Amino acid sequence: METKAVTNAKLLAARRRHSGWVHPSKPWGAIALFIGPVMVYYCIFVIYPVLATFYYSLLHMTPTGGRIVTTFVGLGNFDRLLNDGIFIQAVKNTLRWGVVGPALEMLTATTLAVVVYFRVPLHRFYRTAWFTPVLVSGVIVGLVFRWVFNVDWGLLNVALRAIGLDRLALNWLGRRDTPLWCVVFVHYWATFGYSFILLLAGLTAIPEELIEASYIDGASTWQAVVKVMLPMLRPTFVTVLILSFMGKMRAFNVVWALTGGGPMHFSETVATYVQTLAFGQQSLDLGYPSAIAVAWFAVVCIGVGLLNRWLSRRVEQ
Amino acid sequence: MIVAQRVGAKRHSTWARWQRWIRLTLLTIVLLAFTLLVIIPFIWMVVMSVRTTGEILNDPYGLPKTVRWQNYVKLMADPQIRFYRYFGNSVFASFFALLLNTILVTMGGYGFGRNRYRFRGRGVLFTILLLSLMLPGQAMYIAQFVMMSRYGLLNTRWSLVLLYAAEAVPVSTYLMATYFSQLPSELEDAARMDGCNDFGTFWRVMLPLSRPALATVILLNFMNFWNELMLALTMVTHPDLRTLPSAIMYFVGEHGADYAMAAASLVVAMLPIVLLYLFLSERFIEGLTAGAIKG
Amino acid sequence: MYKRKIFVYVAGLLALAMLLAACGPAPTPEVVTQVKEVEVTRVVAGTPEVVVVTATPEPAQPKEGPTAIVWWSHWANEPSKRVVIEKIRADYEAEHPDVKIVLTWWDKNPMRDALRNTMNAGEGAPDITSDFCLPDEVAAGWCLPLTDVLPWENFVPGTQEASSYAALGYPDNYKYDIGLSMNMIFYNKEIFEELGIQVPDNYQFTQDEWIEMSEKCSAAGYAGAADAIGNRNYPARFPVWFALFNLVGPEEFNKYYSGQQSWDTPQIRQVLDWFVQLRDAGFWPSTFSTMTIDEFHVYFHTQHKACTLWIPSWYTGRAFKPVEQGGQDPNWHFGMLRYPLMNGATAPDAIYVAYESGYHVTSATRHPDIAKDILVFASQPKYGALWTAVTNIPSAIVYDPVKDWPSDELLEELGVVPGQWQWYWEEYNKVYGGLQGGQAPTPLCDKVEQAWASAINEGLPLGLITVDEAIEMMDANLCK
Repeated sequence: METKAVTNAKLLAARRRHSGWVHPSKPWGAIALFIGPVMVYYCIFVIYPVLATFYYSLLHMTPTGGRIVTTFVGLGNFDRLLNDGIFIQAVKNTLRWGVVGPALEMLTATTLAVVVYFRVPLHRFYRTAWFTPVLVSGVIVGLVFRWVFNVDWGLLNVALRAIGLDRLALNWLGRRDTPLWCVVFVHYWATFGYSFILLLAGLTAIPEELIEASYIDGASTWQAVVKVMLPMLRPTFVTVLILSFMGKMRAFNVVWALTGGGPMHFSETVATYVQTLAFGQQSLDLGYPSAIAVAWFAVVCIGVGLLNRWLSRRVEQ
Repeated sequence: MIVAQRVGAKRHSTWARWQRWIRLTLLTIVLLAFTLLVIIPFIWMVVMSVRTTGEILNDPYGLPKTVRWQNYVKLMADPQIRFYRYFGNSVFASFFALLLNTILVTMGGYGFGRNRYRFRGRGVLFTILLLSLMLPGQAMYIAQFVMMSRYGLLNTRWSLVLLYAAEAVPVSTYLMATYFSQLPSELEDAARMDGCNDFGTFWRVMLPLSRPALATVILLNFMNFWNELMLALTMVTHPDLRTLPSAIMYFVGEHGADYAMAAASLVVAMLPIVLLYLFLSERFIEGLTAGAIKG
Repeated sequence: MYKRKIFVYVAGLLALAMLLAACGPAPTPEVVTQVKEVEVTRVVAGTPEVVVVTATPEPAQPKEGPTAIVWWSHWANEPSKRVVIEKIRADYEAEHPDVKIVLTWWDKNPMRDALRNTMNAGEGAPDITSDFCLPDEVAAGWCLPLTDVLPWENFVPGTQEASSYAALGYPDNYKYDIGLSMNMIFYNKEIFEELGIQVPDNYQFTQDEWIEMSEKCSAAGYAGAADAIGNRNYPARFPVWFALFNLVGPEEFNKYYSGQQSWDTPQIRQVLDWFVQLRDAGFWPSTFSTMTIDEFHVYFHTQHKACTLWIPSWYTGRAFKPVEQGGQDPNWHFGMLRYPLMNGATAPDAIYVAYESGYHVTSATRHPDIAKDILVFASQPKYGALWTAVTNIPSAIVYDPVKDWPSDELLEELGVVPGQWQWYWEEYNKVYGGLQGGQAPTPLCDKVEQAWASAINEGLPLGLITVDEAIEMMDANLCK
């Protein structure tokens, strides 16, 4: 269906090939019209709150009936957080998650993507099925898995007992050491589909000729995968890895619904700790959680920067 | 697929072909088992939701004696629960946020994507826009809470509309900008020859052509708005105004002992998105991949 | 491509933040005499006569005429308590036709979140609410004092003292109490018979007998007690409370309870060691950390999976309701026990009586006089009697059991089945009749409350910390 505009466009293109191209003067009105609303909106609802959070991190503040009662404490909040045992625990937990989670996810997602790339039987079904957990809200996932991990009648322990592994039927969500890994696992379950799809798309974008060429050169499937596909996949891999890492640093829904940070803060992450401090049932101060948010922002930036630098240097080699 | 066939074609002997079949079968079994693990929680939930709590307490893994659709009816109609409220609120918040966001990002994406609108600071502004992707939500929502409370929007659904739209700006603008940047400039010139001004070009020519990207943006954003929890918990606490994720948290938290109802509530919350996905799975997946590969 | 720019801008923002921090005055400690007000805007919404409750499908607020008072109460799933409060409301509206009370029933946790949210915002908050006015909230000026308002002589002696925060520097009273919360222990008669456990004549097992009982119960596959901490931060505290109360008596207990005394004493050690021994003897259910309060009630009274249940008297509000709604079978009778007899107990016959949640008037109210008047109205003796008659919970309001008792017609109208819970009261009088009730002051500063929740409710029963660590935690969070 060719519109008049498109026909004209073709004519114009033909004409242009034979004449010079003249730059018009900048259409500032149009620029303002298009970019203006977005930038203004963004500044009001995103930039300003971020700057405000930086400001709040220097205060001790209590909103009261629409007013805010504040006291300036300078770096006092930051001092406090360095000595805050729960914060340190939360940071440790989140960093552990940030290392193990993406590693697990990337490993399995890449393997699955490669497998599905080769069009094994039922590959379309796998694609649909594995993406389903991503769609479902983290809340739902967390709540369902609370039941799955229930020590008496939860799916996991019942299955373990059924195959005779009674010893492994632990109180998953009630011990010291396991809740964090339960969180890591559940979050992985809920998001691996996303990484999988992205990697699959990355694989699909690799030109087939390259792979065929490698077969002609006598490579087996395994060698083709490792020597040709994976290196070509690298940029996508890096992007997905960074996205995954960032996601773990700020993940909230699943943790909150599954354990709420408990028991006794053993599965506390920075995100849940900020939520508990700012809107939970403890103190009314909003300055301290803002300080935590600011500190964490710095950590995430550094983390992403390091990852980026480490990985891109390897790409260039 | 050529590659897979090539692999097979190289080996002609019967034994090798058997080997290949065995390998494929094993692989399929493993993958199916894996898939089963992935979807089993859903299945369990759906089965639980059509039984009674008494049945569940006695036998958590049995099949329902009779399929009790009444659980769903009770969820919606019981005057103490009235789940339809939460549905309505989620629809309200998602719809208006989508509307607002779409208007902003299509125009913004056009402005950032087309060469015609290049100016010296544009790259910088675009980077600032993308910056918030790195921010954990916590960095913003405390201040957003104070802002909403100051403007009297706390405990209204509009606060969610405004903040959701803002949250989705970076990725959506990026997607739209990328798509718009790939449309040929001849279209613009042709439209101008027909007498369109800049906005006319945008509205009549470019926007209709951007339907694939637009659909992607809308689907992705809908999914994120529908499932969003953090802002929903903190901005809106009145029960009549809660959205589904936050309502479910409290419902299962307080009525978790009534397993059948809790499971029914989870299924109901999941249903719209899953149905949408089943109808539009290709589009969903296309959309997600579009962003990442180009990035 | 964008990486460099991202770094530059992040660095710039951080630099800006540092600059802001550096340019301010030297950091001052938290408690400061100077308070700087930043914002003064308070959005006044709606018409003056009407308290705005945003966008609800409930019937629209009248714009003129009756004054609307918004009353939030938790106990959404305790029908007997709802009946009583609704009756109070109906009576008040009948006597004061110019007042309309909008009563909203909540679950506890969502209500607390909504209260914080609306009080912060300055709008949408109720006039009267339950479960509020903790020390931090009083300090923030969110509660109106009821000191000179309520007729304290109508209440059980000691009520006024118990609702004051004098120990924390707030001498006023902020709470209207209607129910007493008497801490009790129930046991499953059939399980005791099955396991051959004999209840002593004075209904009191010694601390060692409790350990034995737990071991017997868990060996047979039952939990020693049904209590669990899935969605409440106090159930595991009960054994420590009851035992400590019994061991050191009410006054000393008060000091430990409210964080005014160090926990490094032999008595505390005795109690905590016993607490840990209970745990090791299989006292807690396997689903201890995940069962919600509704679930563990069902665990005891319907699933019969536990030997005992340690619970205050508000049990009847939750359990004496139709079975389909999660209540117990009226024909299933359980027994009651007194507190564990600790070695060297100084108050073996004392029973710990505290107060249930009550009602408070918030500072967000636009009609403080009417709100206070409602609570005064609710302080009449007949409502104390009504409370006990309908909910089967002792009342904080003193009443004459003959004069003030509700008539049979009224009880029938309210859906109370006569004599249904007679067995409960008989057992109650048999076991607890004549015992002295000692009361603990309710206000705990935040730190102590958190320490109780972490160390005693979660840490020790889950085996996450040792007794020494628990004592350290409590000592580190004293409330002086």
